[in-house]
Amino acid sequence: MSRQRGQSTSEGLKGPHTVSLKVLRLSRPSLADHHPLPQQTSSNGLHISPKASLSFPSADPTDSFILSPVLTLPPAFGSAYVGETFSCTLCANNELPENDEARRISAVRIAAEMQMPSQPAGLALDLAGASSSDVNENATAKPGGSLQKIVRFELKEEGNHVLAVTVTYTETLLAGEGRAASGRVRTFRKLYQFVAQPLMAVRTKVEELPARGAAPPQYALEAQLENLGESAVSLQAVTVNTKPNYTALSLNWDLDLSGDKQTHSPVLKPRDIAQVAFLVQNVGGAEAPEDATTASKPGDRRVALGQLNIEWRSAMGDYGSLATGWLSSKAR
Amino acid sequence: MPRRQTRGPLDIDDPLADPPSTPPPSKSRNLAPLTPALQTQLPPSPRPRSPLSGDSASIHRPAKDFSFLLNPATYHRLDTQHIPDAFLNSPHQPSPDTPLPDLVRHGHFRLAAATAARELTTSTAPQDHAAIFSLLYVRLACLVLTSHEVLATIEAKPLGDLSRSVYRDAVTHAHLVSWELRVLVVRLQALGLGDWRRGIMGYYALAADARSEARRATGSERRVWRSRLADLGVRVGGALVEMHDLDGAARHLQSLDPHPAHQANLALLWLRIGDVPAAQACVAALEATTAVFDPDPGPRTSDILEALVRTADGNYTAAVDAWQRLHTTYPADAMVAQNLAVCLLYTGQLPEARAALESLIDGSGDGGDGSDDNDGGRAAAGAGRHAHAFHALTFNLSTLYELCSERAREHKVRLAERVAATAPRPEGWERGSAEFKL
Repeated sequence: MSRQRGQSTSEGLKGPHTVSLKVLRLSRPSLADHHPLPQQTSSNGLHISPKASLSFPSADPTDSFILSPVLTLPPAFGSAYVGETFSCTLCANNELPENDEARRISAVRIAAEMQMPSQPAGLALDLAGASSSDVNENATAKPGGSLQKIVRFELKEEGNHVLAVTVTYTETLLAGEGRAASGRVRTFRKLYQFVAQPLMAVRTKVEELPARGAAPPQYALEAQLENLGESAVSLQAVTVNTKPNYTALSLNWDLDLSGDKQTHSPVLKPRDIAQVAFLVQNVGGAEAPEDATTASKPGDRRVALGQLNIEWRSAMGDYGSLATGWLSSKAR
Repeated sequence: MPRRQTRGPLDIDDPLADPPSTPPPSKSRNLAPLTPALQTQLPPSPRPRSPLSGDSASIHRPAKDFSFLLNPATYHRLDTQHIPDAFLNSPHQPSPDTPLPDLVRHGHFRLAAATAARELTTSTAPQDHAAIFSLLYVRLACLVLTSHEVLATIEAKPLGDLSRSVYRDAVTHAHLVSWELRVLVVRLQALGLGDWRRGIMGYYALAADARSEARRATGSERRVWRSRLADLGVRVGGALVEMHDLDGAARHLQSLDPHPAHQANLALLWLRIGDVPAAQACVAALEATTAVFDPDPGPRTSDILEALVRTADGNYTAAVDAWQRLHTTYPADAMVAQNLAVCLLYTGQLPEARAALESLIDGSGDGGDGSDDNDGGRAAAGAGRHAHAFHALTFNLSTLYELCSERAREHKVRLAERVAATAPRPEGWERGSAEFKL
């Protein structure tokens, strides 16, 4: 969960900030549940409107399915998983009261950086916002106006992350008739901390298959994928990247895509495990060169077979991916 | 001489039996598995002989005593702490002694729940099962409608197993409890026990009943039973979703009779699971069938699903395009406008998103032009548009207020006031504070 640590600059004596910063995690919107009441047929004058239990006015009362097409904004920060894209919206809001004739806000700017285990100093983030700069300028000019930016950041590391947001604005004091009397640039910074957790645990095993005469060696690359998260994910694709003289044949659900049988990707509930297997073989002429980085001692002949690539999607299609390092055959 | 009633092959051509209401058990045994209730029909004591006219209504039957459902201790008092003052103090709030039919008709479900419980416990005879089950249905349904689902599960417990013989007419063996109450109780009891497998078994037991009734009935009555049977199939899918067996729910929906509605629900389920390609395949299949299924007038289901698929793909700009196109064609459709507003937030267009939701609340004109409407809260509804207040709408707008201001609470309270100012409708009027994130 995100924890906000407000950190004001040394401006305590100059009065509270007249611009506020609010953040909303933009994980996917969710489909609203509803529980349609059964259709009443007994005629006793106590007929509840069939639309009363539906999540939106134009829903079909005869369809009692639990899911409806109405989108709901995320109700909470939720969990953040490695391999997924962290997205949130930052809003700098003009908090001046409507009838405040004495002050004016202008030149509101938002900057953000992400601090993570490998970069404690923070990595500056590009923020997306409304396309026209006109909008940016005018958005916060009137009291109650907001400047909205969107952060998108791929989570590649496990552990503590801190989103540090800095808001800078100019507060102008007016001396009657709209003439500016004095102005100052004010700034404040807010920190939002969260933990990126692993979603997928991967355990691999590589075995060399019994040699068939003079044929090049074949390897079975197996993996167990476990869903460590709190909700179900749909395993979209599991593939193996190989070096150029090797190929990998998937022995999994995507093996035979012929015919028009409607297939879907496996669904992994929390704690479910999927087993996958690939047949990796040498198709080029030459033996793969000795992989110096994985050899533990001189003369150790290990073959780098491939990297396992896993792609998944969680509720409402939230995409994530993970790649392992190079998996090698056992030392001979 | 008293005639002992037994069930068995002898009853098939018993001239004293009332044919339409006494299903021959062996015939139904061949066609569908009997429910446990039908198989255990052995009333212990002898019954007096019926007149030869065969009119079951005049057969003397012992009066059923349902006083175990009339215990005042069962029914909870509903407090009003979680309701915004705007509703409690509104001139639309009816007086507590308003007759129950009026309360139900105008959508005052909290008061209807209270009145139904009062009538059940003070002015209903223990033998009047028709009135008892009718009031009980109103009580439980209104508790669910007013976010008191937990209380409803507790109050549904005294009913116990609805397949018991006490709930069947002693002579005709017709079920005394209305179908809607039987269906509602399956879910409430499953929720109460935390046992969804029991719930699914309950739906299957109802389905067996529905199947045998459908075979016995003719004409329009048969159509009613068949639609109830189909509805149970969908509810089983919903139960699987509630117990988080999403994969199982998908397999179940795929096993139902092919119908565009099931295909559309399956697409929603794939989106919920996250399998966007599978959802896209369903949408393609739906588009291939003719649009006969779709409600008229209204956006095509496949178009709505296509827009949802784009949203799920994370392609919010394309999603905004799709929802905007639908909104331009169907400006009065609140769900489309609401979904458009959500996607506008994701593309950095907060003011437009807020304005779109505000205009849905007020039922005022086109909210897509970015004008901020919230001080003209009483703007007249344009072009026949209604003011809306469904949960997603108020929740999303309250979320936007929290994003836009330190003084979000003021905006949310004012939102509750605006909703309270609208006229009560049969779909409901009063809302809890949670709907405004208060």
